[in-house]
Amino acid sequence: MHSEIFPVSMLTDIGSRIVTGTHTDAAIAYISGSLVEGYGNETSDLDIYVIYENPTPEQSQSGRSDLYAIETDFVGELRTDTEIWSLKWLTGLADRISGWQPMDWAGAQSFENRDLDLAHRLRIGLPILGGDRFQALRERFDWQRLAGIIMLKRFLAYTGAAEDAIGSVDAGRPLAAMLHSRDALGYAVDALLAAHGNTNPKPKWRESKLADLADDTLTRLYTEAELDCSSEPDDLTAGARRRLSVASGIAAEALAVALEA
Amino acid sequence: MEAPPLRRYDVRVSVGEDGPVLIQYGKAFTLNALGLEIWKRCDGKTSIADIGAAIAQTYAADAELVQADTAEFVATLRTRGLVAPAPY
Repeated sequence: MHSEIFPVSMLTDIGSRIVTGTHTDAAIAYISGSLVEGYGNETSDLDIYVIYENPTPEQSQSGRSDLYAIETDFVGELRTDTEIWSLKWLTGLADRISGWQPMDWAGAQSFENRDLDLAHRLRIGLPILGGDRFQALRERFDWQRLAGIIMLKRFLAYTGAAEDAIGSVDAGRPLAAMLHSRDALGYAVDALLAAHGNTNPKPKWRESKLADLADDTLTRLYTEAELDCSSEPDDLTAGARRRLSVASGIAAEALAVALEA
Repeated sequence: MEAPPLRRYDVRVSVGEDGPVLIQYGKAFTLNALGLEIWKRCDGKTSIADIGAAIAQTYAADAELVQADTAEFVATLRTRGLVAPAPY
């Protein structure tokens, strides 16, 4: 799936021009992000990933051992963000994901969201340099395990948010109940999406991910549960109760799908 | 006819050492695979008979047996106060 706003040929051309001009020694380069995935809009930027076998100290501008630098550029009104990573870091991430055992809750929590996003962006990326090595790197990742890790992390987020929401309902705090119950519902939906194999870890694309799943019943259920009748305290509390009940059902579905897998 | 069972707002789904559990104010209620299937269908709209029929169809199981198990499990949920008597 690719952007309908910017043709994929235009995106790869922009990426190629930026990479060939400044990163001639890179091992791999690819474009990725929301525009490549088909979720983006006119305000989205184009993400370019440049992977070096052995980044030089001069490229190490970010002060981190894994991410070497982020460069921002503009091509017309389209912003590009170029991230430079070492191949060693990415292969290490692939091995960490492959070594994770399904339903290992503590292990899943040890992965940072940033790393999960990095892996997902490789999965959906389009190569612009070093195509064969890009393909080999991508094949090193176990996408089913990546989805499993994201599922468990979101499921745990659901349980935490639900606990906070229940406490808020019982304490007579309608606004807090509304906010926490919305978090719980959203995380439950994210867990279910991951259980079905979606590896995009960002909640901001939930609507697009639901559209990809093409489950109209789930989408309607989620939409209706998000709504409140009014801002009256009793309505907010009733809405939070309803939302928590729906979230519990969706979380159960996520768990059932994950356990079956 | 019994009202369709509805998941109470104060019950969270979680995972314990033996698999899925329902947590209500620190008390855990362990679910087996059938229990999890029943729980996710307790939406306050679907009758016990329809829950059982849906599960039997999904898993190509003996409808009569699943119906009986579903009714028994929902009765346990009611006894333990895990499903609500009326919609929110």
